Amino acid sequence: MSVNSSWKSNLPLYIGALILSIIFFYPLYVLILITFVPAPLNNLSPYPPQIPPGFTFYNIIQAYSSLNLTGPVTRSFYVAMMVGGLSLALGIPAAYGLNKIGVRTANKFIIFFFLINMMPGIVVAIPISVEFLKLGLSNIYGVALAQELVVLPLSIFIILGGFRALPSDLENQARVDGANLPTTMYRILIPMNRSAILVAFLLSWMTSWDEFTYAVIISPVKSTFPVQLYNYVTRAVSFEASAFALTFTIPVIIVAVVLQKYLKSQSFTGGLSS
Amino acid sequence: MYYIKFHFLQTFNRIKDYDGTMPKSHNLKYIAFIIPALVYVSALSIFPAALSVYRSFLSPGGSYTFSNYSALLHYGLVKALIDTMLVSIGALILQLFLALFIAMIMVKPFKGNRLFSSLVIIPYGISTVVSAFIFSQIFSAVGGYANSFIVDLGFRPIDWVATSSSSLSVVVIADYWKNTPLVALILFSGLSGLSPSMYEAAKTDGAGAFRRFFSITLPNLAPIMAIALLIRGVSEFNIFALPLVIIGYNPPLITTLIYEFYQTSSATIYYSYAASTILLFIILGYASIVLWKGGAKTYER
Amino acid sequence: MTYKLQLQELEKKFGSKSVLNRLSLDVEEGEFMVVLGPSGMGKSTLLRTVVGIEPLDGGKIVVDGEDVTRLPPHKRNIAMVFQNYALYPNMNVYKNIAFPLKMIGESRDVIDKKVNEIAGTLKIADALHQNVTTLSGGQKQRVALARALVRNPKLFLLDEPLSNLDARVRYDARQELRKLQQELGHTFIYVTHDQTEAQSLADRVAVLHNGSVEQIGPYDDLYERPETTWVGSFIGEYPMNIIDGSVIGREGSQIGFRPSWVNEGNDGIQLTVQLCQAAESGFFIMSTMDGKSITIRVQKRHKIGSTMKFSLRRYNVYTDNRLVEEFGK
Ligand SMILES: Nc1ncnc2c1ncn2[C@@H]1O[C@H](COP(=O)(O)OP(=O)(O)O)[C@@H](O)[C@H]1O
Ligand SMILES: [Mg+2]
Repeated sequence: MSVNSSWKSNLPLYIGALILSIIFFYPLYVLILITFVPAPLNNLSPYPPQIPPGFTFYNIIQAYSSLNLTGPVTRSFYVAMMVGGLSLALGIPAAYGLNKIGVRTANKFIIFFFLINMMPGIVVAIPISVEFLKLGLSNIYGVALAQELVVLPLSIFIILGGFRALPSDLENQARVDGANLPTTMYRILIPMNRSAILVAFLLSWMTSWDEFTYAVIISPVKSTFPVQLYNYVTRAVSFEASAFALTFTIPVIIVAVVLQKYLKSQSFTGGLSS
Repeated sequence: MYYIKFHFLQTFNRIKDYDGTMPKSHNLKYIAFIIPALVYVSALSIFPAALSVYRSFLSPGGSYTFSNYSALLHYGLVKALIDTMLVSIGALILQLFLALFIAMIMVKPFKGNRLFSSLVIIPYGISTVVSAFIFSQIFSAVGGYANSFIVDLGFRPIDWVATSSSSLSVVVIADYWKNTPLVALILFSGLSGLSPSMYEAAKTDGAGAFRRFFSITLPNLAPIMAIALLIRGVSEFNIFALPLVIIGYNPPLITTLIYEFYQTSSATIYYSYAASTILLFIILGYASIVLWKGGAKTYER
Repeated sequence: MTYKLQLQELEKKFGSKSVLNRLSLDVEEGEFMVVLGPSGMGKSTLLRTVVGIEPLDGGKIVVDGEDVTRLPPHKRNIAMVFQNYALYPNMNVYKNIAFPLKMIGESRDVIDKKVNEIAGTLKIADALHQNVTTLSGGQKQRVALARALVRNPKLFLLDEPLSNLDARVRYDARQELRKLQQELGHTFIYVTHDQTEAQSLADRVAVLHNGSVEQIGPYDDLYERPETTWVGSFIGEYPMNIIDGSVIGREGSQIGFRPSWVNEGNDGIQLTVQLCQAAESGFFIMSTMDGKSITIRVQKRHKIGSTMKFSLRRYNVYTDNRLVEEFGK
């Protein structure tokens, strides 16, 4: 397909792109509207305006001062960090081992992990929640432990891709140079594979930040940001809630756009893309 | 997430032929490194799921019974399953349709491509609950942004949650936002794999844009679309946060039904175990077929 | 006599494919041993098993009289330079060379002293703080060598260390390597498929065939009296000519001769010239005899298609592909 630079011949393309852009931007626009349009204007008319009749930071200020936001956000942050950390703690050794045992055997394990991963969250979450209650884990630690289930297969797969891309002689060289396995891991393999590890961490982090099912079932009170947001929404404190939603959505959007490069470049092929 | 799973399936055959220079055959001691992860998913996934199945046959008193299942039938299990199926199919069709358009635009080299790609990928980063909240504002029972349009155009406003079918439609529509980007990425990767020479050949043969789409793009994309749809289907079937926020428990989908029983009382938890068991077997059966068929298909190619 | 390294009946299989097959080899202290063999013959596999990164299926590895077969690589104190040098891309040159010293817990001062010393010897002192990805092929090879030498191990294994260099650099590197080995008195085991390297570097050459050492000795010995027809046709710029013994009345045997072991004459064996190549030492005539190609060296140019005759000044006799007699030596 040649680069077609003339506007005219590309007109259908631009029209299509424009329509799709509108479809995909509109919900975000609504979020911005709810956040920045003065609440009374929205409240008074049952049919909220599509074009902002005014502009205010009041909703945001109100949200931050009246709602107790620091709790859920901090907890979400901790949980996301724990999930990211667990992904690495379990995923790096597993990926290392999978890279060693031969591709055919490794594939069987990966299929197993992904198959388990397809188990509906709610099916697993309810018995976990009942058991965790007995163990005193009906809190964010329990949530982190459960959310790890969602991201572990993917993390292993991404890190495995990184390991597969490394020349195996680097590890051998380190062994020959007198390093034992932990030292080789720490000094050679992990630094060499840091981009895959970083992507795995970020995706785990993002998934946890977004995760709702496990969070609401395992720790319905003193929970993470999505659960808190859900509570606010059901209690109809929408304007503050939306301000809240917008401000904490922005960083994650940035991460997503950054990760777009990886997603588009098909780098998640277990190190086997052409 | 599912995008990567898709890639896994796609590269199956390449992985199969992969021949590293390192010995990989008799290093089974390295399985020790995988054991923590295996133990983890077994303890937190397989064990609880098995527990769910086991308890679905218990009464709150601890005796064995089928009454949990018969109670489910009474409480509308079948309708919940059908509704879940309808939502899944509707959502998949809508997402596929939009994603195909997006992917076809994304592969074209034009000014603004990057901006376009970024714009359509943004929803992927938005929390499901936030997305659900936004759509609950758009499709409010009274008022809402969708009705603003309709009223501005001079029509009567619609009560979106008045009937079961309109409620489900709202869920289907709301679901496009967060999930279409991933489907689009999958199709994009499939489209970028098609060779331009095929199109050139078709062009010289005088095939118009429509002909080219139906005789080249679609058939070549079909296997990828099939895999993508089958895999996405699993997560559509498990859709939970979105219906919970937008339409609550009415009409119930299978997941919201489970959650409602879980929340109601310690006795109805046993109903949710039974419903969970049914959902589990549907999903696992479906997933096995996908992995088995999908894996076999890519092996053959 | 005690050996620096003794390999006893090494066995290695990949699946059903046997790569090392009861391979035995003894290496003396301070020796430059070249293991020569075509690609895919298991040379790299041999070094990997010796250094310990590839488990053996059988056999014994003895270093300085100590059985190391079951030791992990980092406890064997054997250095190895990999074919692609395997420099750590996340470290600069200095850190690469310092790595083995760090691993044995040397102090910073000692590390600094030793790294600078070896960098001086190998003429890479200027590049010490460069990123390894920016180095030329020759520099990379030196860094890899420096990293192997710096901790003073018992043995050095080198896996085709010069094969990635271009011709000119390779020639110089070869000379330097030999000089370095002689000065330091280290024991080197060097594997290659390149005979020129074997010829110019080795004290002794071990020819690898079908997973074991087919013949071992100084290069000239291998050239002059290959013990098997396979070694004969593998060693030398031109393979040794192997023809049926009946040509000179030795039924049931084969005779082998080098291109230069012939006299041109009016009688003897007749052949048709298919190719005539000029070289410094004369003209190489190529032809076929009983479907086998043969090459001889003569002093006169011959036209392609013409016939000529030659007699054998010298030849080896092989029965069942094994050397039984030498004639005219
Ligand atoms: N990890 C492995 N798995 C299977 N076969 C291997 C492996 N490593 C090497 N081989 C095979 O063993 C043979 C010897 O390989 P190698 O030692 O690399 O030969 P060389 O270094 O002499 O070229 C080759 O046929 C190669 O295909
Ligand atoms: Mg080799």
